[in-house]
This record gives sequence, structure tokens and C-alpha cells, in this order.
Amino acid sequence: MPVVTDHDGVAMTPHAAPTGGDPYIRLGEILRLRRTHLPQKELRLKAEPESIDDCRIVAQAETTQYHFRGTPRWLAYVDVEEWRDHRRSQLSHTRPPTREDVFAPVKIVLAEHDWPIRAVLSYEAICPTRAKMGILGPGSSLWLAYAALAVLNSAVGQGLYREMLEEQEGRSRTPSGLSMSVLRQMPVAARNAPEGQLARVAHAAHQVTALYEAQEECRADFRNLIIATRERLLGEVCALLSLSEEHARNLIESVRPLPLDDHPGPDPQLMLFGETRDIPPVPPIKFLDEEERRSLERLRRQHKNGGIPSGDEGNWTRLRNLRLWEERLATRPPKYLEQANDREAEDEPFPIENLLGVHLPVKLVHETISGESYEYYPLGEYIVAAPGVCGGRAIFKKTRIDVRHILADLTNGRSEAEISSAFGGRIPLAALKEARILAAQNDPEVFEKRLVPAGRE
Amino acid sequence: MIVLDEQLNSDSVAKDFGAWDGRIVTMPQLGWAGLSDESILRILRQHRGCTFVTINHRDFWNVVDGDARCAIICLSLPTRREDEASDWVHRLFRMAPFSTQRARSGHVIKITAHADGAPRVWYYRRRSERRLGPVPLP
Repeated sequence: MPVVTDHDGVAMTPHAAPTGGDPYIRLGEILRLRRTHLPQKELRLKAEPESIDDCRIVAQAETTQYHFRGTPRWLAYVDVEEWRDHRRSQLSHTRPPTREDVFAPVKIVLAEHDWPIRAVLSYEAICPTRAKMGILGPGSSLWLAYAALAVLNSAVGQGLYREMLEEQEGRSRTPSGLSMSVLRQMPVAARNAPEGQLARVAHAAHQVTALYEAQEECRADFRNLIIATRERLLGEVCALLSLSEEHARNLIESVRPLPLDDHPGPDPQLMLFGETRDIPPVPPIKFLDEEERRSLERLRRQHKNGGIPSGDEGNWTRLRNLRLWEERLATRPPKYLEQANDREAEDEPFPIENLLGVHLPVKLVHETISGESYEYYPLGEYIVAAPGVCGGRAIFKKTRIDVRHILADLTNGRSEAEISSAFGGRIPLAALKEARILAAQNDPEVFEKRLVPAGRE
Repeated sequence: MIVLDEQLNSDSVAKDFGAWDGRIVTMPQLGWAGLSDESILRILRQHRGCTFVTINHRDFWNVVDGDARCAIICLSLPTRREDEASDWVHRLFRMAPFSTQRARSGHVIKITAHADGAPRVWYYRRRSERRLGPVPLP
């Protein structure tokens, strides 16, 4: 039976923190955990987000394993800040989530009640009313966040939490709120687990999350698929945690009364940590059978060649959606979400009066088109530079089509007739000729630069 | 709904997008054809949950904040490679952080070509906040 040993060769269990090197990566290492408590009844909620400052409010009862249920409601985060400032002295036990946590790119939300532990990984702006919230630290692995999600929601994770709680705090339940110290100590992966195993768990946890989302979006019943995937994931989690078979089975048995979707039958097939380093990828999940696949291909061809016959539109949408979700499920989540330093250099404007082949002075022209004001500097009959349109570069009049793109097309051998027709005649042949003449007299770089204000100065 | 900027408004590009995703419209169908960059944001806000795709990445990336009602995808892709646009966006929609409209709304996303052939994804919500990326496009 495989066991994990510490440096002294002593058999370890995931909840016994070692004195030497810890054989487990713990939840507290990968997520910054905080408690949040916010009485939603005192806040003004909205049916839809209206600004970038709005976040989805999630009540504890809406936090289920792997997904949030219920109709989303939103609130402006500034309302939370105002409420906090107003009530700070009166309600010491409340703790609204910080702005940084709510708008963090990745977070795990854990409902406070532990029967069962319910964790959701979300990329949305989320404001939980009563939860523990874990934020992925900069540079941390997204795969480990998915592994944490899988462990926390699994039967073995539920069992481990209870074992550790009993050991550390002498109780087996935390109905009033998950124990922060036990959560931080929860093992997420054995440190010596192969990366391929972590990838498998991350992918399978992503599949489970996506299956719940697909079920909601496609209004389909994927319950059997969800149960099968969760059972497979349970085995993968055992392997990632390097649990002994006996320990894994005991943990699963200890939480049998819990309402979980990944409870295997009486003799579960568990993947246990072996010697192999050749870990196969996660098997794909298919929604479409062969006949539906053929129908989809036929409809795709019809769509390309003119249109979908009336009466087939519903089927076309359904099959296409299911195919899209199959592809999403087959795609492993990114390994890292790195912080980027991606500041592009500010474009230097090119003085319009330095353009060759333009009648000077170029004066601003005002027109009203369909009730909208349109201002531009004419560079010819068809080519203009309009403040605020396409960054102030040279464009074809009354369009958002850059001259630089069309010049690149011409350079690449596309004919003028072809270009004009591709844009539905909005660029007449005479306009293309004008572009060629202007390009012949100026450095091509000029068409990459703004000639007039980009619109936000 | 996917809204294509006017430079991507050729028949073949719209058909490529339409072959795998839902409703595809072009910017001139939603507003007047010569719209300013700022007017585009105003129009997008009126079409809740839409995703705007442009190859004029420099006019949006690092220039606008995200909006909770829509997503903005900036492709660093020359016109001559515009037939790759639908493939890039299609692959982006397979990625976990962007696979649902709710998750990608509020983000400004940029996809750039990369020497190893796998394009990279960058994104932010507000210009003042940190940017994330590069994440390889699946």
C-alpha cells in the first residue's frame, strides 16, 4: 500500500503537520483566506450589472458545490463601502469582503456551513454574504486552485476536514462557520505528486464546473455525466493526495450521510498513487452522438453555402452549443494567471501637414449623419482622419476601416475589386485608387500613426 | 451576441464566426458606420452580454476600462490574417476564464501572435488594475 513518508521515513497522514518538510501543499499556501459577512438585506440589489464597479452578491444558500445557483443579483461595491463606513462602530462581527477580494481575477468561495463543505471557483466579481473567500496569490498556480476546489468538494476532502477538526479542536462539526485554522491546513496535493496528476485533477475539476455551467446554459440534464465525472475526480484526488487505500476508504465511509454527488458505491475504484509517471490525459466528455455530429457537419456546410433551412435553426443552435461546450470541457484550464507588465508605448502623432499628396491647409469639416455629428479632416475625397475614430488614423470616410489594413491587403495581392466587394461596396474602387496614390507618396508608417486626436485627450 | 468591428465586416469573416457561435452582427448594423471609438462603447452597453471583436487593438487595449455589460476582445492581427480572427476568438471561448458570457463580461482582452505559434492572451478589468497574462491560447 503506497504511503507518503517524511524525511525520517515515518508514515504520514495529510492532517499530521510534520516537524520537518511538509509533504503536502496546504490550502493556506496557495490561497489567501478571509472570512466575509455582509447582511444583504440592508443593501440595494439590482437584476443586472450596470457598471464595472458592480459585483454579483451570493448568499450562503446559493453557494453549492462547484457552482452558484439561483438568479444572479448584483450590487455596486461602493454601496458596500458606504455601508461598512456607516455601520463600522455598530456591528463589529460583520466583515464585508474587500474590494481586492471581490474583484480578484480568481477566487474560491466557501459557504460557512460545513454539511457538506461547498466550494465554488469563480472568475466573476463576487461578493458573498457569508463565506470564507480564498484569493489566488500572485504567481500561484491556477491548477492548484482547481485542485483545492476538487479536494474541498470531494468526499475525501469532507472526511479530512472532519478528521483534522476533531484532532485540532476536539469537535466534528462547525455549523456556525468553517474553522479557518483547519481550512488553512487542508492538504491540496502531495508535494511529490507528478505534475501530470495535478494537471488531471485541475482538468477534471474544470470539467465538473463546466458541466454545471453547461447544464444551466443549455437547459439540459447532465446529472449522470456530473456524477460520473465527480466519481472519477474523487479517485484522481486520492492519487493527488497520495492517500493510502485504507485511509481513502475510511474517509469516504466517514461522510456517507453527506449529500454529495461523488459518493462511489460500496467498493469504489480509487486511483492510488503509484510509480507511474506516464499519466494519460483526462478522457473527453461527449454530448453529441455520431448521428448528431453528422447533422452538425451538414448544417455547418449549409450555413457556409447560403443558409440554414427554416425549421432547422433550433437544431443548428442546439448542436452548435453542445459542440462548443464539448470543446470547453476538452480544454484544460491555464496553468498560471501571471501578472503582466504590458504597457505599450504611447503612439507619437504624425503632423497632418507633413503628409504628402494632401491639399493644405486641411480644415476640420462638420457634417451631421443620421442625427450624429461627424467631424473629419479630409485627406482626399474618400480618405479622412476623424478625431476619435480608429485612434485618429487615416480611414475611409464614414467608415471605421483603416487605410493601413486595406494597403496591407493590396500589398498581399488582393485585388481592388475583391476588397471593394468584401466590404459590400462601402469602399468604392475610386477610394482604393486614392489610397494607393497617397501610399505611394508617403512612408507606410504614416498610416500606422494618429494624425488627429484619438478622442480621449 | 458577437459584434464585429467594421474592419472585420467582410462576408467571409462573419460567416466564419457564424459557423460556430450564436448571433453575429457587425458594428454598422448596430449603429452608424463611422462611429467613434467612444460611441462604440456606448452602443455596446445597450446590448447586454455582447462581445465586441476588433483588430484595432491599440484603440481599445489600455485605452478603455472594461464594462460590466460586455466584453471587448482586441486582436493584434493584421487584416491579411483576418480569417484567423474567428479561430482565435473560438479558442479564447474554450478557456476557463472566458468560457461563459458572465465570466468574460467586464474584461478587456487582447490576443497577440507569438513566435512559437500559440497566440497569447492578456486581460484586465480596469486600466488602473493589474493586467494578467500572457496565457497561451489553447
